[in-house]
Amino acid sequence: MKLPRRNFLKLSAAAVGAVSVGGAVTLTSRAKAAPAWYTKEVKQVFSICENCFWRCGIKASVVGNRVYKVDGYKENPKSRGMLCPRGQGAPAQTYDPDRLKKPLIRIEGSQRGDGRYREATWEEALDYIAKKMLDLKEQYGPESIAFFGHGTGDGWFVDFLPAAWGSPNAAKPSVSLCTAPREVAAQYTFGRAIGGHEPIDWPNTKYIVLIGHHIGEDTHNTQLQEFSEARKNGAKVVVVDPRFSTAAAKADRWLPIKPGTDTALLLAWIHVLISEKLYDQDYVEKYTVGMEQLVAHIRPYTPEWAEQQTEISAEVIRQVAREMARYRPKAVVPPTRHTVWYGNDTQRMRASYILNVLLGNYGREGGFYIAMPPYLEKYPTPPLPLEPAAGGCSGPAAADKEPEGYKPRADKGKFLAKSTAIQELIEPMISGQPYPIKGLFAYGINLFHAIPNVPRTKEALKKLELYVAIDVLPQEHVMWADVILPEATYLERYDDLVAVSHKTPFVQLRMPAHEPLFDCKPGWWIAKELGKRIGLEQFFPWQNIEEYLDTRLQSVGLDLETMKSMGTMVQNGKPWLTDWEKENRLPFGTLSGKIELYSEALAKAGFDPLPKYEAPQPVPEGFYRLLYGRSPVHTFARTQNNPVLMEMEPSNSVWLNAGEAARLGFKPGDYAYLINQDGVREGPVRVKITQRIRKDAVYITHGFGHKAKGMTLANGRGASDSYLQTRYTLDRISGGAGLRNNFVKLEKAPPPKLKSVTQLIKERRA
Amino acid sequence: MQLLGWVTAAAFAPPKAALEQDLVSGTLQAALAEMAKAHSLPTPELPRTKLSELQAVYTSLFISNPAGLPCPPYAGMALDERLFGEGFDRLLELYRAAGLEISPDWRDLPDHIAAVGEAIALLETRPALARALALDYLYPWLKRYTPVLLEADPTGFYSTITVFLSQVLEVVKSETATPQLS
Repeated sequence: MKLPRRNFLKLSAAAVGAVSVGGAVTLTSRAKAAPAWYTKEVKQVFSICENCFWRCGIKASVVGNRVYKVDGYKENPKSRGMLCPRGQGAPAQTYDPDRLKKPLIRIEGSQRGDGRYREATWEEALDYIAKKMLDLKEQYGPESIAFFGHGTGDGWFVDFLPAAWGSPNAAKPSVSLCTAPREVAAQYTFGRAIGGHEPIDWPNTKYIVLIGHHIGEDTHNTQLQEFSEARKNGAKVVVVDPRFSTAAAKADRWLPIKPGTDTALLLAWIHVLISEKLYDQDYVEKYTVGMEQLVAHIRPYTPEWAEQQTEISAEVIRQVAREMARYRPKAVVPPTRHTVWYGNDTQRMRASYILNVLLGNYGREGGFYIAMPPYLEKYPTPPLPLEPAAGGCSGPAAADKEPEGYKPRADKGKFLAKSTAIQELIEPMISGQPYPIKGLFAYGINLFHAIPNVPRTKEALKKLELYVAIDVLPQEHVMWADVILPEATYLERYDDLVAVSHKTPFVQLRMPAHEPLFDCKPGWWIAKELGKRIGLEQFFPWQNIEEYLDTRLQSVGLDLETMKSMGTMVQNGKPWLTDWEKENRLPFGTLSGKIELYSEALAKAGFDPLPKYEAPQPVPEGFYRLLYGRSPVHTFARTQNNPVLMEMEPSNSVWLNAGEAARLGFKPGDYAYLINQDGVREGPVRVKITQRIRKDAVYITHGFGHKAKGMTLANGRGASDSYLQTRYTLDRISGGAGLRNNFVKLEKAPPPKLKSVTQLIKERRA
Repeated sequence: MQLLGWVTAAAFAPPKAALEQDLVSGTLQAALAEMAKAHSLPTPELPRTKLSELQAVYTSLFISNPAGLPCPPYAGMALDERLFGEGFDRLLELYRAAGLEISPDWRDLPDHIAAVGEAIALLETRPALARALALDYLYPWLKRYTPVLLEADPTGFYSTITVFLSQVLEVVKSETATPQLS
């Protein structure tokens, strides 16, 4: 009896006869300790960490198909030779048994969310997607397919592919659920972006005021290194936060502000600087417009008025303003990254920038440096029909005009900014207004742990005619897709070059440490192969990714082989105003060419040209305001299946003021359910009883509370802030979704019946 | 042992036309009968299942499942409780020394149970080595995951195969003084 062989393996004729049963070479090897990896031939490969969005340059130590260690390298301005725990633990994701391994197609007749799939070849899966896309285009137009994405590879799917395809409905959570207010405010004030690498000259500053800043908790590597350097150099630190954060623990002052009243505090500080003539008058005169209007506008915002709003004493408000003035221009109020708080966030960020300008610190040492992007040409392709619409950490998209024959983005008119707002593209999937969105690509984004109002997102997914998920792990939303495409991890793929705006602009390279495991493919390959099938071959003229990268690098006098030996290429910048003045120009891209304290453009668009205070929505009786933040060892909802990181932090906990805990009868070690204003329940989650938070708010770290059973370590641990965010307040300027207008009450809960992470790691078999 | 290897490879490879042909032609059933006879075991009856159903079940058991993957099809998961552990490294060493190379078309890990099955079959001229491979790599996986499959396999196809292969290897184990790896 013979069965036909399957050809997974082949016999090498040369080796036949080399094995002897019981021989020392093989069969007794279990008794021997395996030689340590570092005693073998170790290859060093430059790459970029993907475990948070600081995106440090790393060097991977590789033996065969395994990365054993990653380190920062000193030539890279993101890591400077150091790496955080998240980065160190990141390689474990590549070897996670829960990884997506093969392309999958949902079984015909099954419902979205049932999770019934069959394995498919890449050809079959891509053909399936292409046919559906072309059908949708024929029936509803190219704009009926939306593209969402997050991560270093998202450019292929959120910028390039939709622009080539003709859909303006491309969006990233890093805009309207994160940086949109600060970027839009920066454009209206400075005519420049803040950008993904916040341009603060930390080492030279002498006075730092952090408002709701997660430094030390989001562990953005060199930012934290430089903050420490500033501290070491004697900088004073003031932390404004309803919670005694990690940064507060390092601060000279902690101002436990009433949540949602930050703009009142900023306006009062501006008031003091102006009324006491403490601001940098020469700087304001030389570089700004609108001071006269600001002086008139700021009169009512006295420290005494602000005390009523913020619950910070007028005396302290005055003291801090005077201290800032004493250290100016080396005093700075750095922007946070996540700025979508209460819905009036662009105006809060405008107030913060105006305060900085009065300190004379923009473009000067110890304040904001002027970040420049590195010079790097695009790969030459035919012109794309549309400009990419999603924007990014560096701010809004450049254009908001649709060429003839193309429809505007589906959220156009809901807010002023030019970029899409991801949460505003969900409703058209349900209502079909202003036109139907019938298809969705989700690349690397966690739809249920990023976009508020999860029930609405689920309803939208059910209405789609095509839903494609491209991911590494079987996250809950992934298992709703019609087609699941397993992407190679960051250690297994090239991505496009990463160009970082910086004091010293730089370009960094990600190259694969080894071949993709399983049947996974890199994002660039997926995009190119799909492009071929949907009539976009002309936009992917490059033969392979190496040729693509090499061509781009030639534009800066390099080639791929040289870059492989460098990892990072650093260029010269123009960080200070004096650098620009030498060229007889200023860096401000505003209409006036100066810093706009008073924004004529906002006034023309019907918005307040100077920031006004709006009181936050009141906390309902019996509820607490839900605040959320970051963990130093986790990133968003991406890392909770990583065994290394989960051993360090296996769950979140809810911070509850000790007085409130006593009133509610919570004791150390107790667990609670969190129930929001709409009856959504999360948890159980351990209660952290602490003096480190105000009585009117509770706090949890973001990213826990996974409901994907296919992620064996992550599933069921802690509580999700995103699931509790059933409401948001739209910022009508930036499109940001203010998420801190959700409220929860606590109910006692039994401890969760969960195995320890350590035990689960051992048992990862069922 | 060679037949056991081929049956393992045929049954645990992603179900495609080749498996359908083995089932329709009765080849796989006949192979089980021959093995049963050789080891004085009753012949199991493979359930009749459509290829499309087998593909769906295979995916949910061995590739991806929103409720948690019941049976990762990798020998290393039974040996080391993780991927790429020491057992995986030992298996690679064994393949290398036996002159076995992974085909570039095989888009999965070398310790996938189907690949282990094929390795057993290919080592036809080294029966002791094939036996050791079966007992030290395949058998631990069968032992760990057969109870899971008995509960999780709605078709009965995979559980029937694993129960039978376990029985065969238990007979082999009791009959033969195999070279031990530890």
